[in-house]
Amino acid sequence: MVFQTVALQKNNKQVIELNKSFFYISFLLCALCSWAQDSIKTVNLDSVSVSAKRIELQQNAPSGDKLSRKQLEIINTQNAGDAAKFLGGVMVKDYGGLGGVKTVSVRGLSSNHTSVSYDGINIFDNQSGQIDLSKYSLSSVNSLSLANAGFNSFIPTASSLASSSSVNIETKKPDMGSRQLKGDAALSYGSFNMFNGNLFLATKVSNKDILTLLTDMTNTNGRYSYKIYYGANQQLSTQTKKRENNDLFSYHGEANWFHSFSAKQNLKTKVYYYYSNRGLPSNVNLYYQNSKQRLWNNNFFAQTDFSSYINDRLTYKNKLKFDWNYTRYNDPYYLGAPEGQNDEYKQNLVYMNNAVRYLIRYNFSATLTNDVSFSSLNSTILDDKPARLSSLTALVLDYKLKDFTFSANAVHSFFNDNYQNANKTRNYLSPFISIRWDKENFSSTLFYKNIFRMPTFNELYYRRMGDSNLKPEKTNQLSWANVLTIENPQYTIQPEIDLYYNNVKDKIVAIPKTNIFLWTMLNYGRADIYGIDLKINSAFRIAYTQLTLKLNYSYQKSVDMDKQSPTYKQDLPYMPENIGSAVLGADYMQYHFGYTCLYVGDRYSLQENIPQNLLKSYFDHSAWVSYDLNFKNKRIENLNLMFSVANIFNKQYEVIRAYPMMGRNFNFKIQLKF
Amino acid sequence: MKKKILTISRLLSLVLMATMFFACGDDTKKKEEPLNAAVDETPSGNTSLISATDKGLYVLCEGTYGHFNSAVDFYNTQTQTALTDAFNQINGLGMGGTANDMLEVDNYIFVAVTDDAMVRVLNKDNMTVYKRFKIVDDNGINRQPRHLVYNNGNVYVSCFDGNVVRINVNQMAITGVVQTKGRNPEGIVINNGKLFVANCGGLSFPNYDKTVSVIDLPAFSVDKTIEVASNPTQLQVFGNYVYSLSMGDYSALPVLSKISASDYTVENTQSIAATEIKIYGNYMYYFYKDYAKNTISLKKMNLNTMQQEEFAVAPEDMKTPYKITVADDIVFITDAVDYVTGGKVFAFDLNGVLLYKFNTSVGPNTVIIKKGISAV
Repeated sequence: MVFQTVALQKNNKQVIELNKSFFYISFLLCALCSWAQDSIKTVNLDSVSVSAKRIELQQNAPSGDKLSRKQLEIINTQNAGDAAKFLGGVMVKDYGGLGGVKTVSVRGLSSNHTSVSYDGINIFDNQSGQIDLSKYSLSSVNSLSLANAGFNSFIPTASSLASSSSVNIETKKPDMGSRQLKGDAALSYGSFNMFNGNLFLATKVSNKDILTLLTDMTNTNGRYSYKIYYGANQQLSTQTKKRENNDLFSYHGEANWFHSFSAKQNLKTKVYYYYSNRGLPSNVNLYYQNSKQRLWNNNFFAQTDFSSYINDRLTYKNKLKFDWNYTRYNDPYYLGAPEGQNDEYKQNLVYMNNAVRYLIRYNFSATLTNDVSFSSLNSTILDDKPARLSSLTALVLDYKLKDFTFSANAVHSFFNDNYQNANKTRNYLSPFISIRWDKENFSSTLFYKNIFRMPTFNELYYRRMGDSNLKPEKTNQLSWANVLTIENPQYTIQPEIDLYYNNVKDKIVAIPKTNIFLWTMLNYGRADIYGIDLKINSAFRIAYTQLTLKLNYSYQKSVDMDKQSPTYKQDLPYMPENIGSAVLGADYMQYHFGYTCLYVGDRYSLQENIPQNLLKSYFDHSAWVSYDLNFKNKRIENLNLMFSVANIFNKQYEVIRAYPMMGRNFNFKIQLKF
Repeated sequence: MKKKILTISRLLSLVLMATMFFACGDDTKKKEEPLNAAVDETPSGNTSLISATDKGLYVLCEGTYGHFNSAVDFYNTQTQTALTDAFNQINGLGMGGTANDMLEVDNYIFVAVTDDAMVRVLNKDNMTVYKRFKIVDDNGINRQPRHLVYNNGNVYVSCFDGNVVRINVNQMAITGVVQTKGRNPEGIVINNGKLFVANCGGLSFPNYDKTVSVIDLPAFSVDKTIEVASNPTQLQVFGNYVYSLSMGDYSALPVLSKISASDYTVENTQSIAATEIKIYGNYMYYFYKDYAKNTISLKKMNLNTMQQEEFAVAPEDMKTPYKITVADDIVFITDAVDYVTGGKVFAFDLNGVLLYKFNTSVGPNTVIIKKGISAV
């Protein structure tokens, strides 16, 4: 969302505009979500071994969702943003194309309420508070998971508990066996001159050390066709145009070192670098299209993750991260200055998590986890460099009694912001409570969580508009998740039904002050969101064919509950009532097949539920086939050839108003596994 | 033989045209845009939605940025019904993004659409589209058209890129462009045969411009630049004077400057609680919303005595007064509400008595009275 906030500054008119977009972005807010993993009992539903290749089905945290490596392969998207659309209860805001910003909103809550972590350590963006998932390549990702109420691991970080929901990107872990070197390499080429290459290498340096290297590169001109509708009547006056200034070049490289001091002490170290250079095509005007806006991202981070099982009762974990993030935005056509507009953002962050878990009795455990971070932002759009020191501490208790598991936690959040020589300190306490009942293969979990999101640096300090006295936006989540697991030698099927209710208070919105040129951020209004998520995860076998099927359907109602609002009781913008997806994969001998379908129902692009603001529902179907060539050479596992078609029916649609999505496109990929 | 003559005559005419072109260039010494004719437009909707005899109001609504939902509504004053987004229904076309100003010229209505780099011409009788001008520079970049004024056969368009574009109404063609020598021209008026343009510089916060350019019309060049208070956005004409309203940096009250249209001196400067001004008769109508106290004041000032008085009590359902249009002794005050949902128009008589009000599309900014031709 950087460019969006950047755009804020564009010109006076556009300040308004930006402000307006701030306004509705904030308005979009909504609800939250759900639950999490029971920390005492981790069900491993690893599945059914029926054949040489086992059918894999992974356990989700109740009310969360997870895409396994297998499912990600079926989904077959280049980046995490496109894959996240297949997580239950998730709505991805997508500005179109490979370079289009993609942010995740879960169960009707705005993107700012979802934290994103990379191999268990949070990614922070204090400037806009939203993480763009299009920046994370899927080529070497092992799983993409969503946890509601923030639990994404056995011993969670306080940061992951301090958000309504969290998405974790987990990269491939080497399972070396007796091999010294393992890996895969792939090249693909497709529509819009889309080129992608990636390489994954893992090598066993010693019995205690494994090194991996992940790298990928993507390049596309992004010139896809779209239809423009000049009038409300879509049958009349349409024209096909090409998306211009939509190119993307991105590179990602990372190295991981897995070291085990002993069976009980492990250290993972990661060094990560990402670079991208992309054109921002801007929204589609009816009669004028000429954007030369560009965005550059440079992100480097290094992180370590240490865990030590000290004894049967005591476990200690430590995580460290240093993060440097540089973003530059340029618009040569900006009319406010002869040289155009050039904005820069530099964020530095250091982060440390310490966590201990102690088993008080066989059925009673306590976890204490603390996150300390310090970050600063140096930006041309702010008058000074804001700095934030935060310390989040959570105490988690789990108690098991017969079939019941009781969990409770409290997160204490401390923030100290320094801006223009003024210090502001904020303290909050956020409770969580859950009860879970397990009976044989059925599990039912009820939780309540109260959490907030901190105002971002933009909301607090943006010139003329920010208000440094803003309060955080508060959410209450209530969720009830029910999961049934049916296992059988021939199939595993796991249906889940979740009911939830979220509400948001003190929403942060932009309100005009004095006149349209001067807006200000305010805590204002509330929203209610309630819904049902239905999920089916299954894997089964028919004759020699192994099938993977994942179905999601969500019904959600997100309503403006502010009595002062002109749109009281109307649906919030960009919150469809219905979302559904299907992921189907089949493997037969050396043949593989994948199919996905995504459905998003009608929704409105602005607060008013009127036809002019309606964005129509859409289906997006994609499919691929692939074939394995096997070699006699034992060093090579196989060579896979894949052909894919995305958006098969060439459906023209928009996720965000005036940002058309790609039509039908083709891709050919060759992948070598060794 | 015949063919040869034809070829020669074609060549000759080419040479002739080229000579004319160069002659022109020498003449003006300004970089003029080539004669830029309009694109014809055809309506494809319900073109009989409004008939020539209907009496009512056209209301231009600028919409929300990025949504390209600018609209023209029609309020039928006889039946007291509002047709929201009538333009779209009649023409089967969207109006584009940020339709900022609307002007009545003969039987046409000109609309400046900032984000779509265009000035659109509609037929006044039934709101059907007629022509469309692209308002871009030599490199095809949006000039961002803002406001319109008419004088002697030409419509002048202030553009945020620092220029005023001249459109000849008879030729329906762009016939000239002049740099105002200021930044981000906004308000534009005619007085004493000269064009006055307010250079607000609003895109370069906090370094606003603070000048009003005077443009000689026959020469179509800048005569003089007058310094006023920072960030002038609106100009109004009263007798031999031009009033400018400067918004400053929004931390203090705006400043009203009285400029002589003959010797270009600033005769008077005063702070004023006004975010929008319109002069009609001997009065200036204006309003101000105090966000701290959440109060709206609707006022008028007698320009002969400079006496300020209350114009009307703000109706309770008025949220965010945005623009004023005064015509035929009616004061229309538009209400942008929250700039995201539908707005309102309140119509008062000159004594401040509320006559009627109606709902509009998002962000109403300009009202034109459609008198309607009398039925035979």
